[in-house]
Amino acid sequence: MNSLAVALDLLREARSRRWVLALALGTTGLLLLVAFGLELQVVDGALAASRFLGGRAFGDIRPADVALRPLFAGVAYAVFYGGVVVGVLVCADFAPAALAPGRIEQLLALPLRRAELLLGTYLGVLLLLGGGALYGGAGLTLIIFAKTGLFGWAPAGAALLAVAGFGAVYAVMLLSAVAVRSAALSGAAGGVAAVAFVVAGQRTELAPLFAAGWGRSLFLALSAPLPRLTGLADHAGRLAEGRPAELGLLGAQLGGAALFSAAVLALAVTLFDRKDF
Amino acid sequence: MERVLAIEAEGLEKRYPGRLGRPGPQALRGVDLRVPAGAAFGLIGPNGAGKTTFVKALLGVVHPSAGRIRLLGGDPLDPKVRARVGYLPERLELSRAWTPLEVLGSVARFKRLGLGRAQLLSRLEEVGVAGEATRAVGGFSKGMRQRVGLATALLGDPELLVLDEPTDGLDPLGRVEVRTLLQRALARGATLLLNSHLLAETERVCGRFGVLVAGRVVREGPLEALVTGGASWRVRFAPGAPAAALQAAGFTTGDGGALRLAGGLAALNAALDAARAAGALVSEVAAEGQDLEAVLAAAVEGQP
Amino acid sequence: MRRRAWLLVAVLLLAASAGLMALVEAPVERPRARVAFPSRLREAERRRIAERRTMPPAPAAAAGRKAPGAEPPAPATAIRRDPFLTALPAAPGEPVVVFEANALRHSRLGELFIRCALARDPGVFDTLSRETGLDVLKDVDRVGFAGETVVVSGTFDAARWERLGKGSVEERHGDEGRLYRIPGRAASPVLARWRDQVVVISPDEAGARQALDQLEGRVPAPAPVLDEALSYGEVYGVIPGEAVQRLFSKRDAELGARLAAAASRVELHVDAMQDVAAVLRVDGPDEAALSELARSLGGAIAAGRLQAQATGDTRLADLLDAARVVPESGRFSLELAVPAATLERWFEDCAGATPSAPPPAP
Repeated sequence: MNSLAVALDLLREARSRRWVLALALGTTGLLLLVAFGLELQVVDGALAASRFLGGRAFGDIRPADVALRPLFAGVAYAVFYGGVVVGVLVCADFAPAALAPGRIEQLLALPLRRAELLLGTYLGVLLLLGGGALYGGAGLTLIIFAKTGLFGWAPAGAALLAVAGFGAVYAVMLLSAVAVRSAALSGAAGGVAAVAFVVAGQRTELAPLFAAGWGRSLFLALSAPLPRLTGLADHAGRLAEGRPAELGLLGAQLGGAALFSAAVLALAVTLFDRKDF
Repeated sequence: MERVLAIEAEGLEKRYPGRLGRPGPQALRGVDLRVPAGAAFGLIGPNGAGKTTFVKALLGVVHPSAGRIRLLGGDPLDPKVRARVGYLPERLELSRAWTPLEVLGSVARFKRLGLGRAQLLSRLEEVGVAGEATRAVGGFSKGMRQRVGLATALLGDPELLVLDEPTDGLDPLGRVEVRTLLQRALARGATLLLNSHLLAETERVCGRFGVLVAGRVVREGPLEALVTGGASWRVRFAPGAPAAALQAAGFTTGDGGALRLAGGLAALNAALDAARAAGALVSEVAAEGQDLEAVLAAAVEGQP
Repeated sequence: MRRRAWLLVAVLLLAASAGLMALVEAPVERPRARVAFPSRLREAERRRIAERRTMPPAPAAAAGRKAPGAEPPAPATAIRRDPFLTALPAAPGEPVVVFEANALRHSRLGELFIRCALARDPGVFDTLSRETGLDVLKDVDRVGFAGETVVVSGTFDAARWERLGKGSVEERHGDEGRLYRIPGRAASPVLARWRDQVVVISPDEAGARQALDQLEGRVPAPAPVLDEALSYGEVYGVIPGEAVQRLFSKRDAELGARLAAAASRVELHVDAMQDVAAVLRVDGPDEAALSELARSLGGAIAAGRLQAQATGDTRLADLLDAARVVPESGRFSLELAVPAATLERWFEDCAGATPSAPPPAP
């Protein structure tokens, strides 16, 4: 309960911060731009022709849906990776601000445990980013529906997968903030973590680049527990293209990311618990 | 009957870690302190004595290297114990984007006080910032922020108040208001631990004092017990007073044009009678060496 | 205690994360069999060399009797000679490569190849044997290429020479030599036969006669172009620098030019009895250039491997999987290998080529 209270306080903090508000306005502006500016003439033509002919000629086949697959996939990848990058930039300051001298003493004197403070901060950031991602993803879904008549959950789905991937990135950022109270370092740690997770997603393809021996073994060992960010992005694209989801693979990757996040948070709690402020 | 202790510290030590794992400075070197419930305890000491470290150790903000702490009979790390404590840190940082109502609302939620807006406003009224209740704290002066911080410490009428430099940044009238609030809290049975460089203010509010020097409590008790040496007085006469008669009465030259007389109250009155009989007019009489400043100076001097 | 508990939890969660994701991940690489590369003469090869020295030692060189442009004659020795190596002509600037056909026939690669050929045309070898009298699977021992000249050793007593060189005229040359040439066609190759042991296919008549003269001691044989100490593996040879460049296609011309500039000599050895393992030892005058070349080749192998994997060219990926460049003092070696299991996979599609027992040892 205390963690939830910390999370809600963080959302209030975000609401009060003007630049987060500016980001929300910016997202809205971008959506409006896409809504009014996006021209889909080529697709419009294909859709019109396929609607005119497709239903009669092909029975159950929906050519219009097929015509838009690349668009959905592109949007899904953009939302996924863009969401992670925006998350790193927007959320770098929350934990260091809470840990700032003068603020942390107040918080620690309150009737909550240190772990609750840390986990509440993590939860609050995820709620913040999840809300923003859903807002942007749902907005894109509606725009594409308005433009093409086709309803696809791809942008919103990609946004949620991005939040799941970002959860692991933010866990690393939080650990960094606990270790060194710096928003810049926390942001940098998030960037490095995101890149490392992308590399982990390609580890089976990259491993042969290393000479067989301790170098390759070390690379494989270090990348083994890292979340496969590219794998999650590919799932987002896959869903967007209407291909069936590999539920086992997706579940394992989501589960792996969750376990990794929990491990890093446990480390952060260990560090935070014994720290003097 | 043994009084319940609000604060109990035994052999408290704190050494901060140094670089590369080497031992760093030792802020507390075995502090023993007992503050009974309902007492107003003033902690004084020179800069770097360890006062703030001690206060932080009480609340679990820093972890002691050795020793034992009990707060209101419980473990300071227990959230249930901390729910009964109101704390104002030495360095106060409030979220710049929040309003005083939001700050108090947050603390009230964590302490599960169930206070409504009206009650929060009432608290802000007590500290004199009710008129700015919905303005962002980022635009406040230091004194106004300090008042908001004090309001958060007093929220919920906690059993124990731990205040570190509570009048920092406040004007003289503000200090009077704070004194009034603290006395009100004491009147309802709260315990107060006050850490302040303003010794006069501390002397006005507190009944017991502890002198912390170089990480150790070197003196502790009521003021009368802490004052050392015999009484002396500082007396000022109107111009034209007969110097010979004053000297005969026992007055010696003091600082700043005043004269000094050693001795108790009876000796003072006898000397004043003799001076007045010789035609001198008394303009000022004040006790000397019987305040916290003198106690602190003596305590520091007594340290190696 | 509490801190250790959190640390333990963190470690367990990391392990669980790694395990969960490993469950659904593709393996990093195919298990690779360790391949032994040819590096020196083995005992069996030493015995083979000794058994092949069937000719008497080289006679002393006669003064003045030297064919124009020929290499200086070898000094007189007391060691008996191998007729095949004696017949190999000196071809300056040309590669000299020898295939141990008999050993290859019994190797895993040879077995797969023969099985594949028979699967496509069951009578291919019988037809050849009927027409020419030669059983290529049994009668041929070694085939050597020195420039444009081909030297074959084996047992050719059943060969129908008239069928081998259609329209050719047989001419006796020397004590036991025969020439087969097509009259009026100076540009056509000339076949020379010595006893029923050695056959030389030369681009011109002079070369064929020279080979027979060397074998019968009428002219001093030049120093062997291929030292016996280098005759290990089932394929071996020496490729001079200028010939290296000609091995590369237009697309890889730059690589060939760089290689030729840096490499004055490339020694080739291929062991094919089980796995096919090739070693090319590159020597050159400039150690720095060789070092650069070694690094370039290493990079090309890595890039080629990646590209093959990316484009799904499994054969090339298999070939480059075990490839590596090994720097040595003043030279470097390029190692290429195809494990036996991969060979069998390559020949899987060839009808009738199924894995079977390993071939007998040479």
